[in-house]
Amino acid sequence: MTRRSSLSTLLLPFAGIATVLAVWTVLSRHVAPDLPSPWRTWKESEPYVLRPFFKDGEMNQGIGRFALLSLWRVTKGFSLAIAIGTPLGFLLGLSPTFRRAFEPVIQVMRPISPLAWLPLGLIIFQRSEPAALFTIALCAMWPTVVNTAVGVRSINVEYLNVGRVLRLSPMTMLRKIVIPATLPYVFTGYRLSLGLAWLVIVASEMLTGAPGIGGFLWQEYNSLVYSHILLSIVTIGLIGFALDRLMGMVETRVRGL
Amino acid sequence: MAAFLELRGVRKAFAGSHGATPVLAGVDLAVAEGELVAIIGASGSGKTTLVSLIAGLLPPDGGEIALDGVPVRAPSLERGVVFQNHSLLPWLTVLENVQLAADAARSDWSAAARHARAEHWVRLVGLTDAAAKRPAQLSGGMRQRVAVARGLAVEPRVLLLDEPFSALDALTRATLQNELARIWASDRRTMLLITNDVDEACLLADRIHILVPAPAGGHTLADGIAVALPRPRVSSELNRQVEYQRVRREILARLAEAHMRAAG
Repeated sequence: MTRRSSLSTLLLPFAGIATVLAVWTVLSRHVAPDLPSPWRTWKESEPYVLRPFFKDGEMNQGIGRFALLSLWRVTKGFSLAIAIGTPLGFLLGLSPTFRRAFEPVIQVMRPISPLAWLPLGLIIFQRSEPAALFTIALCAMWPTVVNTAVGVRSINVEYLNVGRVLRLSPMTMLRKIVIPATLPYVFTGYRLSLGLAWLVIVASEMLTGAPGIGGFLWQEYNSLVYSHILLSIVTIGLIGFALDRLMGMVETRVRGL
Repeated sequence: MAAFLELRGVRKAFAGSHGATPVLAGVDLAVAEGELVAIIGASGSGKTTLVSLIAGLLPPDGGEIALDGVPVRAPSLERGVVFQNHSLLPWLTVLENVQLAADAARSDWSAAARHARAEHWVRLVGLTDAAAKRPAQLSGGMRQRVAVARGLAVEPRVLLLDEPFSALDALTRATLQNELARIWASDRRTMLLITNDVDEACLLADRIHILVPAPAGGHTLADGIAVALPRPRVSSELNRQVEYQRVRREILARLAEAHMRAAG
């Protein structure tokens, strides 16, 4: 039984990947002749993957270099998102007045696509880099805001009563009870926000043409090197997966406290 | 005689989908300073509501609660609470949980003095070796000890204990009851012990009140039964004492009568 299940945990993911590759192959052969096959994609991507950190020009670099550029941009945008989103979430959770005032605004802003925010960012900041950060932060902060607010509102009333009978000052209450009790929710928010930030980065790089994975993808589409689009897509997926796992580990540690 | 802790005609009802449900219908109680009074009630008789009202966590709908002549309006460090489910903060260690209360009680002291004070309370309940552990690493009995230590660390004028040992196994419960008796004997702090355990009440209390159903719904407190047993009381020897048997019989009879009235 154990043998079989360990075998399936190892084999089944490969079966899944094989299925995707098979569908991809069929598509490239019979449906979309412009779509490079998996093998052609690999052959044309080889230099970018095997020498991931070469740099021949702004828009001709190894895939690792592009990934790092994108990751750095995401780091900045994500930091901005949680720096704004966390206190905003606490305010929403703590103050009914603040919640009534801003909840509707937030509900309306939440579903707006990064593609809609970016032009606004360009108008406000006149340069593409801060516009990209503005877009990432604005799109990625909502899970942090919402989860933090929910976390604050679902604090066990027993803990709050302890604070009340001990007559804790508002600051002590926040430091010793509200923040620690909310932390697991906050980190779930961070994890979701990071996922969103990574989604947004590609869109913002495509639109601004900034060097990075998304910028590279868009440039190679315009230069008709379709295999590199696929290389970018695979890289984006793998990095997104790794980021989620990383935040998942952090989250588990925080929850375990 | 002016009582130390006094409740007069205290009423509380909770709003529900079928209108207000009365929980406490005119509770009167007088506790003298240094007294340990037990309140026995079945589940659903408003025990925890009574604690919340005296603690100031809930406002009464009517009636008056006063401590040493001062009406109760909000929580205060004069009225400490040991909560039913220990309510320890899981992210703090044993010492930090107690420290929170010691800091609140002695805010004018230096940090070092407050730290020593917290250690004192942890030692008093025999948990010095576990001081650095978190509640999740402790047994149920140990957690409840920490809760008692935290309640004491507030150094309140009256300590409210809301079924502090009800979730424990019989052996652990007996141990903690004896410890509470020892602690009470050493500093004679006024205590109000809420319980559903007749033996616990007999072992610890000077006087026992029962929450009985009121005619118009809700519960009210019946007249107290004095427990004239000499102290220190030893749980294993109580059974043989005539006074113990008398008190126990009377309480059980009254509880049965209250139950009959509630059913009929």
